[in-house]
Amino acid sequence: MAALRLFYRFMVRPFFREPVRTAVTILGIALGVAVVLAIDLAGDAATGSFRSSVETLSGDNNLEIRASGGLPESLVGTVAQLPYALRISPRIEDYAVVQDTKQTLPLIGLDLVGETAGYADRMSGDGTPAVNFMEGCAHADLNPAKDHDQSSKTPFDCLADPASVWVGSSLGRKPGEHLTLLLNDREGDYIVRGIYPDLNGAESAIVMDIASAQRAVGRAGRVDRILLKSPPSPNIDEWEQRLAAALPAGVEVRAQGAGTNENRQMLTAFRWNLRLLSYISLVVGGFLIYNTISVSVVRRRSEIGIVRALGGSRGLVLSAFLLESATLGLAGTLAALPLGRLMAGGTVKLMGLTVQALYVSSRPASIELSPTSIAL
Amino acid sequence: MPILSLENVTKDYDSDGQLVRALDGVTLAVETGQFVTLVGRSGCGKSTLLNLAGGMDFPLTGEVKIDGVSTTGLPDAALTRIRREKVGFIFQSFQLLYTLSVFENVELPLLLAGRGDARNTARERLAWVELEGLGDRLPHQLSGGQMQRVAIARALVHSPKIILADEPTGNLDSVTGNVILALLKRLTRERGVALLMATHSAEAADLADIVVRMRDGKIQTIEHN
Repeated sequence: MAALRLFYRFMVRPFFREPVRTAVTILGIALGVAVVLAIDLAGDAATGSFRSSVETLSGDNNLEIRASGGLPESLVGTVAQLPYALRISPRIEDYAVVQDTKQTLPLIGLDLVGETAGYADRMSGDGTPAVNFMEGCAHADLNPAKDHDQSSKTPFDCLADPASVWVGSSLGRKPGEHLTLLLNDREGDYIVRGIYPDLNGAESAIVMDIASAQRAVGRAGRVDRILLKSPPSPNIDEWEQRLAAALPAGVEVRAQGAGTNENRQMLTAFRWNLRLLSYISLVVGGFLIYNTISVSVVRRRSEIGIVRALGGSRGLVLSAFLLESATLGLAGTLAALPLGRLMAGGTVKLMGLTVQALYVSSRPASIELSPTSIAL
Repeated sequence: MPILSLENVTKDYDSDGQLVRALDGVTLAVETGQFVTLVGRSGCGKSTLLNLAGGMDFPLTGEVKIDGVSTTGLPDAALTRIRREKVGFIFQSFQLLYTLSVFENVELPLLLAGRGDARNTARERLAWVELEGLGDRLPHQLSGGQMQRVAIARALVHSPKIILADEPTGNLDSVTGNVILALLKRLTRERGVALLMATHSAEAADLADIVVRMRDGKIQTIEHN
């Protein structure tokens, strides 16, 4: 009780006696902590939704063939001629902008004609749902504006129709709806043929037949990746070696999803960079506390001397100043919580754009002030 | 047993790279209830002697005992406890805390000792120095004499065995100074507290039981009045 009275008289009262100095100090600390908190929250939100959107519909494939700048389409034939029982899924991967919402979404070109049955049947171990692309084309109105002879069209023509697209359920579109997409600076009108369930909360992708995608993005005769499903025996390393031996130089065979892991690692590094930069503001906050307490100690030197002469111990004086620092820090942190949450709102958009531009497509999640963030 | 004893004490200070002997073989004993003045020119070692007597500093050689306990080698916590329980300080410039009220200044040693009944004791000590009714004022609302009375009340609040006073009338006019000296004399007599006072005041020397004359860090004479 006596100690509390002393603390109030010596440490708390001066806060009120010099309100401007106290407020500036607390504001400085609050800004420092708020920046760290904002960066942390925004980082969580900006990258939190990253679920490897380019891996959408990658199914249970376990290997991928890729090369810098993409692969010649003829390589699909080369792999198909190998004496192995491999399932081959070539892909075009790019981004499309949905013009009415300005959403940037992954564009995935799949061999729908060749593999549609496979997509309908498979259910991978990671929960990838079966997708029946054919369902959307069974009774399709085949682009009546362009095509007057509907009777001659089959559902396969619908799949291969350059205007046919399939979208994830999270996009909130319905079959038959028209979408205006911007692909490689070219705007086009597309028809939603079907909806597929999104993978574990991943964002939607725009799916179209690989030939249509090649035309749309101007990569005729090229594919971006070839996904493979190898037989369970021998092991995957052995398959990698066998395939690598059969492929030309500069073409890489690796476990499917390795790129996703690389992206994850890059995102983690990116977040740590931002986090460390934000710690500079924390250092500034710490310096403000240090400065305030230093000034306080110098100004109260005679008070300290009197207190020591009257029976105050070194520990008591030290504790008082530490408690003063803690009080300022606590007040600053409490002020920083709403401030950081507010700043995160502005930061998340910028950070999301950076993540999207430099690394992967991601959709900012909601900003959540978790106990971990507060503790940090 | 004397409440304070110094046995062949020496103390050196470093002044601009030169060692200066502030105390040189000082031996002195102060008994309970005695009023002892230290007189001599500035720099003769009076304040140094008070610092050692209050456990604020340690002698180079010799021994200082406060209520029978040698300060040499005592850890800071033990010295703090001795100051808190047995020693009261009065300074020339009062050394009141100007952000605290009179009551709060007087209570301070009790709160530092962790005692909760501080306000009543402070009120009683203020009555001893005839400052009833001024407890809620701030120091700057008091005269010099009143401030020194507050300092005396503060020095007495924890019932110390010895009060160390460094020129307590140095900042006061002679009339107020004499009133303060008379008050100190009365309190030491009534309360049985020893008083060791460094002073230039001839009036203080006249009032003291013992006058210790110092020169160049040494005791020249000890006179009993």
